[in-house]
Amino acid sequence: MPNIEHAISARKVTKAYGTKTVLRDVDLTVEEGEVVCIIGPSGSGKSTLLRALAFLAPHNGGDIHIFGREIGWNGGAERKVKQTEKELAEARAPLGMVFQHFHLWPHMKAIDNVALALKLVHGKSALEAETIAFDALKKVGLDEHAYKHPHQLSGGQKQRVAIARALAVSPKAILFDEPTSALDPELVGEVLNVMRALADDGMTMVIVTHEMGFAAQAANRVVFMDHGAIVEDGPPADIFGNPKSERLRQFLETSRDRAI
Amino acid sequence: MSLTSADLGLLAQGLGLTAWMTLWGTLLALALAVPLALCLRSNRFWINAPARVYVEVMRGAPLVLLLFLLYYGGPQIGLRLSAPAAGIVGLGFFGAGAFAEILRAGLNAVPTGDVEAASMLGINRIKCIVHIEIPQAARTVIPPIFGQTIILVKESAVLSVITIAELTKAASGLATITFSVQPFIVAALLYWALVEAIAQVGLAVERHYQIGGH
Repeated sequence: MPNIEHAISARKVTKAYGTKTVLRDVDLTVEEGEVVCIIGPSGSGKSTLLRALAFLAPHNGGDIHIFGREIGWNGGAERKVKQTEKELAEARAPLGMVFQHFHLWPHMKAIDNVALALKLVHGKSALEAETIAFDALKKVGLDEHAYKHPHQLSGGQKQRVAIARALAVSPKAILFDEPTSALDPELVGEVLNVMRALADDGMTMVIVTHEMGFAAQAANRVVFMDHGAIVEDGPPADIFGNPKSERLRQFLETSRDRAI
Repeated sequence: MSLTSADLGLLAQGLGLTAWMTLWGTLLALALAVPLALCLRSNRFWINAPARVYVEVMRGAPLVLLLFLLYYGGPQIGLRLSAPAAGIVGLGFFGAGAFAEILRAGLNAVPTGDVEAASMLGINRIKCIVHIEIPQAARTVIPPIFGQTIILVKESAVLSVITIAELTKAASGLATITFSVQPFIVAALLYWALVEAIAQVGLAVERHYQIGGH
């Protein structure tokens, strides 16, 4: 049990699907207020790691603590004592999650997507929930679209609603799983701007991304993963300006080529 | 010879009985299908296995056998049902198997991420099923549910074997008296009208609940 409270701490986290190992002894610590971007080639395990942090992809080895509280297992994955639904919900409570494909609920208006958990989980009245939801939508610049259904919104707008939905329940940290990868290029900027504003507000964020420019500008730390392991972890200036490993150097080169 | 107005009255009564029996049979089937579908999706063997057995039995057995068992076999185990009650229960039990599979497929079609998003927000399993999975699945299953209802309408013709004077029974009774196929032709037209009406209701419901975009 770590005694200093990190926002997120993953120790020796391992994950395998059958015989295929996708995370190998990953150690990652995120402090409160930090913005950490995880980069790496496809299949490197970065999304799996992010999903493991929220126990959406249960790890088979090691342990993960969220603001001092273990998530998913009790006493590390090896003991195989799975948390109850209630324990898991409590461990997850400080975390918000934003998905690549938004996952707004299509049968509800934007504002109802944002308000649902406030009503069902946080005991807010319909009116209170709607007020908070409206404020959250305003924060991401979508108050005018609050009463539209997801199918009436662009991809960028949908992702902003998803961010508002995560924000509305006041999480202490938000995990972003490739939040701009499913967007048309001209819509990427509006989502990144919202994320940048959140970072400026001091929100703790872990972001799996292919947006190197964003990572270089907005992150306090960049983590480079390859083959299920963290290869380099440091400030963006070092990662992008002075890569130590050959693998990171190659990765940066190919992503730079793609950008041109 | 042509059918008298009294004959047509008999056929109309038969149609009414067919529609009435199918309506209650379908409602009973749907009511049973919701918990069945949820059981089919359970990860626990002792929950999903009985539901799976039920569905397989109902899919494997003809309705007419089920009706014989309920109506003629029932009294032997102390289950005395009137013919209409046996008919509705038979249609309901029979339809529940098919409806459960449709609902299961509909629930499976809800994207995993939609459920993950709910669970990340602390929404528990049951609330997620009620507020997110069922409303979404309901929309995808509307067309196949109405399709299956139409099949039940036509299956209900075998209720005649347990003495219910539904449309087919009425038509065959008249045919024996009149030595004519006319009653069958009229009955066929009446079935078609009923089926068409149900299909139109299905389309209207589908349109009403469409969430656009697709």
